Amino acid sequence: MDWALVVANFPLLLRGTLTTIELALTAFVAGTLLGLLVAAGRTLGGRDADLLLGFAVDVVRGSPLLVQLLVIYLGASAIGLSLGPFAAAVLGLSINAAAYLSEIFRGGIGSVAHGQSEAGLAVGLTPAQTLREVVLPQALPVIVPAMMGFFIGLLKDTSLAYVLGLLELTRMGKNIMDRTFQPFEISLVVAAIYFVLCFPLAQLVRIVDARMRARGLAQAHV
Amino acid sequence: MSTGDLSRAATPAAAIVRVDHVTKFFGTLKVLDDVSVDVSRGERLVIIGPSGSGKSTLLRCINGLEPVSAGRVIVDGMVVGDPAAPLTRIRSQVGMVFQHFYLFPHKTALENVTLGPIKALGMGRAEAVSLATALLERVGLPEKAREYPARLSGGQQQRVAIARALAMRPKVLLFDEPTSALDPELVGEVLDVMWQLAQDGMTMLVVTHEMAFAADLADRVIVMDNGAIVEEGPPQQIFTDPRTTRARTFLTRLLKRSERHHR
Amino acid sequence: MSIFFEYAEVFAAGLALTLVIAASASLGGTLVGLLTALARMSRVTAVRWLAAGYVDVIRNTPGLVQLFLIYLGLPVIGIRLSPLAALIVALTINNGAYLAEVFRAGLQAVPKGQLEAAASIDLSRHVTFVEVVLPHMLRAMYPALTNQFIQTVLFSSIGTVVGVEELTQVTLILESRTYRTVELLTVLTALYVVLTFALAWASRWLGARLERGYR
Repeated sequence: MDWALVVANFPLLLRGTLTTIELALTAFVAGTLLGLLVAAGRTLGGRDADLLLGFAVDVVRGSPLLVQLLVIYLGASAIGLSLGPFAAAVLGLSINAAAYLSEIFRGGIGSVAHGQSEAGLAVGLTPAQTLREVVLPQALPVIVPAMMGFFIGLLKDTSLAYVLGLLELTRMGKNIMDRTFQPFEISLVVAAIYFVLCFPLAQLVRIVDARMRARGLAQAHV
Repeated sequence: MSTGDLSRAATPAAAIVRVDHVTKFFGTLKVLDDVSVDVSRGERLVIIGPSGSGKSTLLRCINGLEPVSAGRVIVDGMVVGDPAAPLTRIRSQVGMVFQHFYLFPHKTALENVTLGPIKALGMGRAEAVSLATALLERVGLPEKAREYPARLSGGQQQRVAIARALAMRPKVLLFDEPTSALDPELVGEVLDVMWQLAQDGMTMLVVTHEMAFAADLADRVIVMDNGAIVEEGPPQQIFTDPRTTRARTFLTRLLKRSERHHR
Repeated sequence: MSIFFEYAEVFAAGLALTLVIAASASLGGTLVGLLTALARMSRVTAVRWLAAGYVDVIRNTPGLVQLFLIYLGLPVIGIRLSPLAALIVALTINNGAYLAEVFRAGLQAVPKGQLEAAASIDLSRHVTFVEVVLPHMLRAMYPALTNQFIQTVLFSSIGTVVGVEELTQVTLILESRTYRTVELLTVLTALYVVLTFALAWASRWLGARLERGYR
């Protein structure tokens, strides 16, 4: 095994890593905002909005992310829009993230006792105020660790932008191994880089989850 | 009548709450069966009856937590559920105290009480705090203002819940089995606060199993069974000589039990 | 969307291979996952650490990279697999790590004494485990297990990267030949959605059936 070539190509791998991180962060933020809108729409928007948005969420969660990325990239050019690989990847990952995150938000909201929102309404708050002041703060100990866990998945899912030719870490690694004929070493290094990104975050999630759970219990009662 | 007037239907001057032939279904289950009752300002109405008789549902129809299937509820001239009468306004006139308190666990006692006035009434923070402090004093818990609900006993939590309901300056207070979830030794402190409220002239609708308290507090007692009002009258008459068989059976069973407890 | 009927056999073949891949990877993954979960309870420290390490590494690296390592990397050390074999092996290993966690959670919920009862030759304790504890465990793990299967069906689409002719790949081949991009991608998405809906419904039905069978 020749590691000299690997070392020589490390700066390229780093550049790919930066693209990966950029992609993940952008999609996460966009997905959170869109996911909040979807969750709010489904909770506050009445039965029709709930059904419509629910169907959209089910379609996104019921099809592979890889296919969604292709739909956006190839579909855009088929209808005359020109989307670069990065833009298509961000859009695809954001929509995918929004669908999953909206379920995390709704699940967290659903975990708050129904009586809490009734008490908020009984005191004269509007449904939106009740959601914001009473329900969401109590849903956070459930939602935040789940969001963090999702981000780790998102970091790994950016590898699927490979099929769009985007030079994120996995595609960069493939290009290098095709050039240097060192698929084994490069694959290992690429895997190691993802591991270094994800594993510490996973440990952080465990700590945050335990902390939030303790805090939630300390304040919870019937 | 123009649409604006529909929400201010004509009512007898003294009735602050009118329940007008209300029927309520949960799916195919009839929970309220043509219930009608008028509550006057300052009246203390106690509702008793077996579990599942619709007592809680009736209260929840009055403050709009449950929509009615037929009939109407009119609170202070406003029809509950009418688009012209926003529920937030009706609920600032009708306060509710729940069996399980439902204090907001992420807020201090003081913040629980100030939330409604600040967000729903648009009150300034300083004014809301002084109002809340006065109310916490009124329920006997001035020193607990900065405590979180988890550090309060059940009786203390319920008293804070009463202060929270009072903060909106309601015309009517609904109590849905306020002491049923409390340990027996904590019941008294909540009943004392309720008694004081009654002395101060608050209109109260109370669903309870505390028969001795009900007999003392009530101006009028309603007995419900299977979603309908089966008997109505002054406490002395209801508790000593109920007229209908259903009321009689229920009360005998219940009074026997509470006698055993009071010995 | 007449294109669906025009190329029905193509879609059917791709769909069939997708299901075969997912089923193989799930069966293999269940075996691997069970062994790993048991290994994590071993008294030998090295075995525990190896099992934990396997789970941590797989769960913190992308499946696509794992596929590359197996399909492109292994030949370097002499192990040459066909694209299909590589895909199934990669998905099995990937599945195994996630299922190991499901089994571990299930086993942890069982009191230690009951686990010993399962292994004991004392018939009454053994029967208690099988009749009482095991069904409870399986019931608790059932949603996670069926969900993992559905996820594997979706994830098998990465086979397109190495040329395995599962559903996504056959559709892309059609696209490159007919250029009917929008129609084909719509049908592809719809097929996956219908498939996952059907699988979710079937697993709910099966779950209810198993419940009744146990009464």
